Amino acid sequence: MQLNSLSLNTLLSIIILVSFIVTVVLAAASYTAYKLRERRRPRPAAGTESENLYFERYFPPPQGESEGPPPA
Amino acid sequence: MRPRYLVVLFIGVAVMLLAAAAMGYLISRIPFRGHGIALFIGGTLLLVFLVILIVRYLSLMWLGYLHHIENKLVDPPEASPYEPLVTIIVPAYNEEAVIQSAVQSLLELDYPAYEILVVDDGSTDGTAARVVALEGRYGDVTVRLVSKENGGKATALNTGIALARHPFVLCMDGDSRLTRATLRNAMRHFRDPRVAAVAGNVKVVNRRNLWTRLQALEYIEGLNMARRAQGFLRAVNIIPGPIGIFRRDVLAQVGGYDTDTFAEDADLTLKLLTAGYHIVFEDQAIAYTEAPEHLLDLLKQRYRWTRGILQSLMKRKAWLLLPKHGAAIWVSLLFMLFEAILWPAANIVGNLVFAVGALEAGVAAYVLYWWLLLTLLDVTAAAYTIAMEEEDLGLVPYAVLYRYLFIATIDVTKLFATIEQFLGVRMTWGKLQRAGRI
Repeated sequence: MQLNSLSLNTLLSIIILVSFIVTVVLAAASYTAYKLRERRRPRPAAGTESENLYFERYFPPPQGESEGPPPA
Repeated sequence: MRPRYLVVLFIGVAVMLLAAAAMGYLISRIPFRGHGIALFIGGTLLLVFLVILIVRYLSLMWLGYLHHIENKLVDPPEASPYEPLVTIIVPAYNEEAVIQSAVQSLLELDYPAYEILVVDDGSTDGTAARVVALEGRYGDVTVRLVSKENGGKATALNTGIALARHPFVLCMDGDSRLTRATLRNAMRHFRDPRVAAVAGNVKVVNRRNLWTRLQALEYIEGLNMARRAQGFLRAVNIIPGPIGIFRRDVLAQVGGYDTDTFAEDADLTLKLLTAGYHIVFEDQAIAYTEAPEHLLDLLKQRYRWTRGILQSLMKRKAWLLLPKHGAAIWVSLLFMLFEAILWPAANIVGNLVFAVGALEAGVAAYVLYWWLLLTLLDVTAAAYTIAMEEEDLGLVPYAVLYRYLFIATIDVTKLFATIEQFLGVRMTWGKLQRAGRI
């Protein structure tokens, strides 16, 4: 009886360990799939790409348009 | 006085300490010492992992409890309302299908006077026309539209901040939805002039499949638990994109959102913190957002978050070394780095080392006990945080899958993202695919 119980625990342990390892491996595979999908994504045509515009830092103008008083 | 939360806290702490003691016992029973230097180092790391795990959970739970007491009992929302004028900035890019319902839901907020400013970020569909149809005054609430060239969310928000007419701004995502009491609950914190921003409580609205339910749990147990603790320290380190409320003059002072990272919300938060301002968390300032429903979209989101957070932190390397504006901000930045880099690696390596050690030592059954105890910790933390937010208790059982399935999957992406960030691998933004559930 004790042997059976021990075997069950060992079996469950192996299932947990294998599940965890499979999860990590599948996660790595999913990550690869994500990267492949991103690589195959159509790029915007030259000249229409908005990335340069996006990476320009934007500074709001001075407070001239504020209607409310500054906070205390 | 509501003592039930204290009872829940004590039960949670007791269960966690017992589980931690049992896990420590398991580690002590594995003879790492007799199986080579690699396993000895592994065993030592495992003990460190266990200590960090418990200290992290207990400190977050305790600080979260203090935040809860302070927020609900010492300074309840209804005690003394604070209702200054606010501009709600709604960045919109090709949101034709939902923008009218979004604006109409904002018109129903329980707040006396505010402005809704929709910033059309160069949409190519009928977004602008839909908003024009709603422009005008609705009692003390106005709706305005500003159109600009497409430049991304950060530039849209910066435009909104620049053109806002009121001293406070609420920045949100075009596809998030606020509850009626959100604004009122958040604004009271600005009575304290040191508070520059309030981080709201983001909840997953589309709890339709396993991944989105696990994300709903993660927002409560993972993100909000940390945010609540940081809120007590006045040093929240990420104001979430779906809802953040700011003093407009402070945003102008720090230059608004930068566009040189992939996590503009984290970057702005760090700018405010390192400028010496307080940032608090309000769990009743709720915004519902749509979580990615498919695994690859989820990984894309987390990849971007991880790299964006690392970029934001690397812009402030000096702050990681020395506490310049007090220990709370320093701890908050270190916690951010820890959660982004160290903790994902520790989660994967720690669990694998224990399993390998147990197998090597001929006590394979310990893997089961170890998993059961870790799951007990996670279920306890889930039950505690869900009770505190009075959220759906049906999410608690998902804690069983939380660490070994969900967190392990996310952590692998975090590790790859970290490696790619330090290798300088090029990355583009892209647009997250939403299912349009809101």
